[in-house]
Amino acid sequence: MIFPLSHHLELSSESNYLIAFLIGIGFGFFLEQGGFGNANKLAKTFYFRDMTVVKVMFTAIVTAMIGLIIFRAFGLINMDQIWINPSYIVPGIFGGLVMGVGFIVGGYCPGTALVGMATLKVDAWINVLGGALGMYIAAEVIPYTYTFWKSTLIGERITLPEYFNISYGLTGFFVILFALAFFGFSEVMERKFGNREELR
Amino acid sequence: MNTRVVNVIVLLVIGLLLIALPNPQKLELKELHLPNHYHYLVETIEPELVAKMIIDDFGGFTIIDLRPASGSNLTKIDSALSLSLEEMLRRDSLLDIKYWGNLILVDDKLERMKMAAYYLSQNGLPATIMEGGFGQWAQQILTPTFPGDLASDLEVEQYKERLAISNFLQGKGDSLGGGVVIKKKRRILRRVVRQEGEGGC
Repeated sequence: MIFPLSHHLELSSESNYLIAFLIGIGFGFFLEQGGFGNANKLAKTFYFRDMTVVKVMFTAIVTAMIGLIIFRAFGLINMDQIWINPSYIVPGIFGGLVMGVGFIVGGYCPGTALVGMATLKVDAWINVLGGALGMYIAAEVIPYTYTFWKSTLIGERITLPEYFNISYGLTGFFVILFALAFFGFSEVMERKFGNREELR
Repeated sequence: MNTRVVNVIVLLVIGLLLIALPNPQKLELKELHLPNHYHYLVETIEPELVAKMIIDDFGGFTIIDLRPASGSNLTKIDSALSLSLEEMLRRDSLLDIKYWGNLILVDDKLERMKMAAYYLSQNGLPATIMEGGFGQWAQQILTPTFPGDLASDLEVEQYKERLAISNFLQGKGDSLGGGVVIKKKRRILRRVVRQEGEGGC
């Protein structure tokens, strides 16, 4: 059997949505259990006081990456069926800045805001409503700024192994090294800033 | 031993194992050699027939535009999928192409069309190449030329049909009332009548 399953089993879009919904529920549950539904905890990341969020995110990235590399090596996944966003550099940086500012001001990223919303946190509700309003405004504005959003394309489907022309395994090894270095850096930062007075 | 140290060691070992994993080998374009006998085996299809298949909404086939993306921006066949030969070779698997139906390859280079057809056939995916490639498509379908004042009635009729096809594919409507468009209208009408007869719609 080769993944993704949807291609093989020719699942209907309703079935696909159902599977996505169930996976989403599971994902949300574990995010909530990890404390990701708490804006205070999330905001501490930006002050290096509690790096749990980025540590968990990095762990998830490394876990998924290892799985993909192993599956690909044994022909269990067709990577061509995995959607990779086209790389528009300047719009990407701009979008990242908007997202970052929104995250630090609101205390949530879109996913964690939904997690907070599920546990009836008022700030998360406001965040999600603000996000919806932002999406509406963006949808109205994008047609007039379309040239910008389609600028500085460096590739429709760029992956690190292809970009650096190295094997997937070696890329995985470097990412693991980077993750370990980052975990070490996070520990140092938490020791340095973590004991300061709690954010209110 | 400290748990953190153990975690670091485990991750490093996993990382080293990843390097040792087999890396599916990909064929380079220069490594793809076309056997001499294949030149006679490759199947071709006329651009006009392809155009009629598009207009008739024939289904069950996919046109693959093999030109690199920059070339594809010049002239396009609306329903064609862009997949250059280089991209095709870079793919992990051609499994999904199996579901694209009959494959019609088009390019501005005959050799590249043949190489792609050969590569696909080696992977169990028979493909047909468009006769004359994009050049012939452009000449016959996009800009059909009038056969001349001395042309026979049949040649003029053929020209009218090509012009109608061209107009239809380029979204210019059926101002000349060409045969194909009229036939398509008749076919749609027949389908509607049949569906109504079956209690459909």
